[in-house]
Amino acid sequence: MSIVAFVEALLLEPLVAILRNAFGYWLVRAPTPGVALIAFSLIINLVLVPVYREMERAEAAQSERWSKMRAEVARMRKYFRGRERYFYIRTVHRHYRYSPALAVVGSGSIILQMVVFFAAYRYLSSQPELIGVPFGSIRSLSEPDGLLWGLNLLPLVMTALNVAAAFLRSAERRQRIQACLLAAVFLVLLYGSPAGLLVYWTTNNAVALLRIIGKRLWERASPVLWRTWLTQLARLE
Amino acid sequence: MNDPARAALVAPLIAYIDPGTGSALLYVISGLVASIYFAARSLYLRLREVAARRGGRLEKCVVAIHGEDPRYEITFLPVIRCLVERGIDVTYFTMYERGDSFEPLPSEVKHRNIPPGLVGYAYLNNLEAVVLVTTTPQLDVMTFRRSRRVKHYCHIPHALGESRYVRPYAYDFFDSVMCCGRVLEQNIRRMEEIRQLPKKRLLATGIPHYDVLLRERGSRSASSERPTVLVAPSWGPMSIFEVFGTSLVRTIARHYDVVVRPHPQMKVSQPELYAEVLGIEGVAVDTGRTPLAAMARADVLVSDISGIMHEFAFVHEKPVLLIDHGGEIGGLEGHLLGGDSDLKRLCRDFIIPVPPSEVDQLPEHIAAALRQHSTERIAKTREDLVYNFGGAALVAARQLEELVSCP
Repeated sequence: MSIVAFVEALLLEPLVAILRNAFGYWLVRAPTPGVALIAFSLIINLVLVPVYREMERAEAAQSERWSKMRAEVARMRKYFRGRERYFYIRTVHRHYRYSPALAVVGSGSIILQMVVFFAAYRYLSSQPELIGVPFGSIRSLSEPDGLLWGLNLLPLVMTALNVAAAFLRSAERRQRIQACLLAAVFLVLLYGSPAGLLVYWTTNNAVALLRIIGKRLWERASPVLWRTWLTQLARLE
Repeated sequence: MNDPARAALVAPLIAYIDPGTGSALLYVISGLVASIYFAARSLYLRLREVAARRGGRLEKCVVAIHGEDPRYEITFLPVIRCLVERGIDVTYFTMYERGDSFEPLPSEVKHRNIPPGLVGYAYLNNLEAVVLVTTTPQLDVMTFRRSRRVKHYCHIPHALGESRYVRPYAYDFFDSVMCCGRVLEQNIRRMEEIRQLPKKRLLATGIPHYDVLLRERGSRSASSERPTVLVAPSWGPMSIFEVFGTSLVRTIARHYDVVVRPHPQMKVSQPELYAEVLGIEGVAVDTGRTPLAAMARADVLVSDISGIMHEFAFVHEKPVLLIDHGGEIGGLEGHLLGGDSDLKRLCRDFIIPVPPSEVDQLPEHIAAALRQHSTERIAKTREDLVYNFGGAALVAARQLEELVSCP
């Protein structure tokens, strides 16, 4: 067995089996395969909420630490040159236990997302149930939607959601620009994709956006306000 | 499923990667590129070190003392003598030739001359010792790296410092620092808090070379005619010669006898300025290995941030004029500590700050400093700021003996 096949068997196959059951469950119960796709996407997101929350917490802590590190590196860059600068920056990295390679490997959410998306892709790409199936105004989930006078609407909705998420997720200009550029890249790549993929994918993005908005509201509301609401809720009961 | 339909559904894998993950992928690529760069650079440096080490014979020592420059002999020799008296095995590594002009070492001391720079550090990086003592800061930051076979690294001060005008990570990776006084001790603790470093051993040692200066002071006397002004600035961009030029020396020389002592490092780092200083007419220039003779002769010192002003004030009990041009401390440790120098604040009665705008009035400031001078005030402040004044070498030797028994 090759290494790739081993990794597939170890990581992807169990996930594909879970996805098959989840999608199969909704395919039978939902009125249409399109609704099943949406429900499938929602369920996957719901199951992953605690995992994402934990990983976001860890990433926020790491982000704060590395933000301090970047400030220190910037200070070294400003005041020192050449060999001296190189050694100081290396010491800053060591002090913050940072290495570019570890930074990548150490981010669990990236690996998890890649594995989950790869499994979803593997499973959905071999589903015959979506071929020629209409969903609302969409003629076939296996073809581009063409809803906007022949132009595809779903990729545009997906891009709008991505841009909104980019602006809400980070206040840093650099990260916003980077996310918007990537949204544009995905728009180009996915523009001609089948509507089924985009229904699933746009639902994912909508859920992600709602999570960001919900998190923002939770953070902004004062603890006093939450206590008042909870007290009122208790009285109603 | 027919082929066109399958082809339509089999979109690129990237179709299932959201912008967050896509961003991460870009990050992966940039991370890999950066990793390769840093790995290649580290490999290059390691190869250079291995090449430099080839042929070197490693030494096994109890107390290894590393002297980077002859000007630190005055720090090490009194400690070495005390260590020898206590029966401790000492190996003295110098990055310079100890010629006949140097004071002979006790016969029990093993002396090893190692090359200066990278080759010498490559040797030290592989040394075997219980304790290594050095005045060189930034252990494990620049080329001076920790050897796995040295149990304990100890820094010893060669001046009254406060961890403010030193380069990044000056003391951070030592196991212990022999502190010259409470200000250094406090600031090292503050840096440990700022960088969240484990607490290192801070020893109340003092400044061993003050012991020598104090003894030497008694054997010389200051001039009794026209007062003599010693002008001894630091080197680098903060040196008063760099900031104001050398004309201030001529201004002073119109009213007083002047001895100029350029910092030894100026000869290496600012050779043109050094040559200009040597060429100033009508003044004496002192380039001796130690400033003892010049300090003994002078009645007042004009300096900037150099450690010499503390020696002059605390050992010779004479006033100093500090030309306080508030130079940019840039990336130095004081940048993180914030605020102004504690030593400057606590010594301002006898190390008198002169604003840059009044450099032309230095003769008047010198006259006022000589008029208002009080040795009692200096002695009181010295007691507060310097540990074990006059007896630091013996204290350092005792502390090293303890470190050897419990590294």
